[in-house]
Amino acid sequence: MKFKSILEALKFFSMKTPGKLCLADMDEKVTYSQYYGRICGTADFLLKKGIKAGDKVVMSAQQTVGYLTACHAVQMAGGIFVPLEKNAGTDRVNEIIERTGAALYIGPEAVDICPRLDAAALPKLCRDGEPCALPEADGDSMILFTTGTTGASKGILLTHSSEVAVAENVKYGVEMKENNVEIIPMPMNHSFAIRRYFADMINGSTALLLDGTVFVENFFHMMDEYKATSFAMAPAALAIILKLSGDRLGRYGKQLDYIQFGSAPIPETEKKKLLELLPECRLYNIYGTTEAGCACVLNFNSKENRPGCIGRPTVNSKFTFSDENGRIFEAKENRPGCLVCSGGMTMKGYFNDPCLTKSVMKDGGVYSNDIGYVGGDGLIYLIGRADDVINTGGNKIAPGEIEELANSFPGVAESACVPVGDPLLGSVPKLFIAADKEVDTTLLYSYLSEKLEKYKLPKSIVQIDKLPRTYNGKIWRSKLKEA
Amino acid sequence: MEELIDILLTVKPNIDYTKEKALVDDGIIDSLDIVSIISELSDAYGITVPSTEIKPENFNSASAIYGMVQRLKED
Repeated sequence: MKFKSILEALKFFSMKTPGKLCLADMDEKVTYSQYYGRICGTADFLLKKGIKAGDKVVMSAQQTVGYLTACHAVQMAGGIFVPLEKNAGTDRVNEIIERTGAALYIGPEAVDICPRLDAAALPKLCRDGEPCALPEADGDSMILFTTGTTGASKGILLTHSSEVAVAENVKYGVEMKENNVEIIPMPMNHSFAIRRYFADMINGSTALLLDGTVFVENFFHMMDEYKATSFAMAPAALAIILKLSGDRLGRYGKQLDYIQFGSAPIPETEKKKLLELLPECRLYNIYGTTEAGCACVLNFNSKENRPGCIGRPTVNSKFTFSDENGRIFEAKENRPGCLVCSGGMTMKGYFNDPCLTKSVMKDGGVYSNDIGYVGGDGLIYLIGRADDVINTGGNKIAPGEIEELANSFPGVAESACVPVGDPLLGSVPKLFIAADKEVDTTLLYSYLSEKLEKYKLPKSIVQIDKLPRTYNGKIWRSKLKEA
Repeated sequence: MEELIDILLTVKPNIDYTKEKALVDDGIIDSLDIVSIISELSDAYGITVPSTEIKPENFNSASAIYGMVQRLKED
């Protein structure tokens, strides 16, 4: 069934499978019927508090049933839900309240520029209520703010239909089964996490919420208690599980149907480890952005796991490519272009920022800085980001090509190639490699020189303990450029 | 205890570990900090922190971490 909103899906399953477990956190669990009843009751309470259609409600995120109840209750009341990081301080909360003109803040920070509710008190104030009219598909549903670590925080405005479209991309992309039980140990203000939850809701399956994976016994408790069949996480969360529990995940090979990863590409070392531990499990890497969610999916436990491959476009997604002048053209391996994602899952635009929206959106497509092409096999390949490309004396080098080759050299765990200044050529490639044991860089250079054109050869190769990564697990290239 | 606080300061500086009692609950340290602390404790004291000991109450304060280390050293 095609839903107009996630709320419509919840209503549908509250009637179709009322007693089925819908959602659980470490402290409570609710069936579809109980959950929808709570949402209606909370929406009723918010309406009586004066929340009107179009009002923004800011809420500090939690990985709890209560938090997601409030999210949908705001939407049912006609409002727009604005989630914030769990530990957002008073300054950050005030900034977002001011920028959105929020009518209500739900969270722990003492704010005095709009009314505030304590999240813990909310369930006690709300009783089961009559359902309100469901929102229209094209209505605004949510604003997701980026954390602003690389510049000003951007507000990505989404509609109910775009939420459903992303959820469908996930559901069909990972071939979700009806009885899916999925652990999502990720912050619920994050687009990756909340969209995995949405996918479970349009599928009528069960979502399990967990506050990270560092308390690894909680993760395995959920695996055992609810017989979880899947989980969705950032590669950093998997790295923590593997570090703290060794090979224990391998015991769940028969129970797990799939694992999906997002936010950042999964490092090769962890990929290899998972393939060893869970040889029969589908292992997905999701490519997408907050602006265009779950646009492409790759099962890397399949023959499609090729260097640079990000898989196939998802059900609601279409890929085209733009040249350096922003014109759409047919990108091929020998002439790649910037990826343009279009489809029902794209954002409506940046909140209150038409100029910024215009700079990345054209004819419904979201223009990215990721460079890629469609391979002869019909799969999408990424070779890097436009701002990562190394321009050496007019020759352009995609660092991914050098990195993939370096990664195939014995002993190299992972690598990153960045431009460094050169008085003659402007910039030249410098290769950083990470390995457990010392790698003979002279031999590595010879290996690269057999396979690369001369201008692509790194000017220097440096071995380091591990590559620096950003908070969400991506290689921190700017830091390497300064090294 | 002083040695332990030095270790904690190398993982996450600018925190008054003698006073903080809710390092995890208040979000002062995050998941990656806890993983780093576990690694540093293993190196410094030759202990293995089992997964059953990795719970918020054991990392909420320097004294709680100290108590856990002492227990594991005795095991």
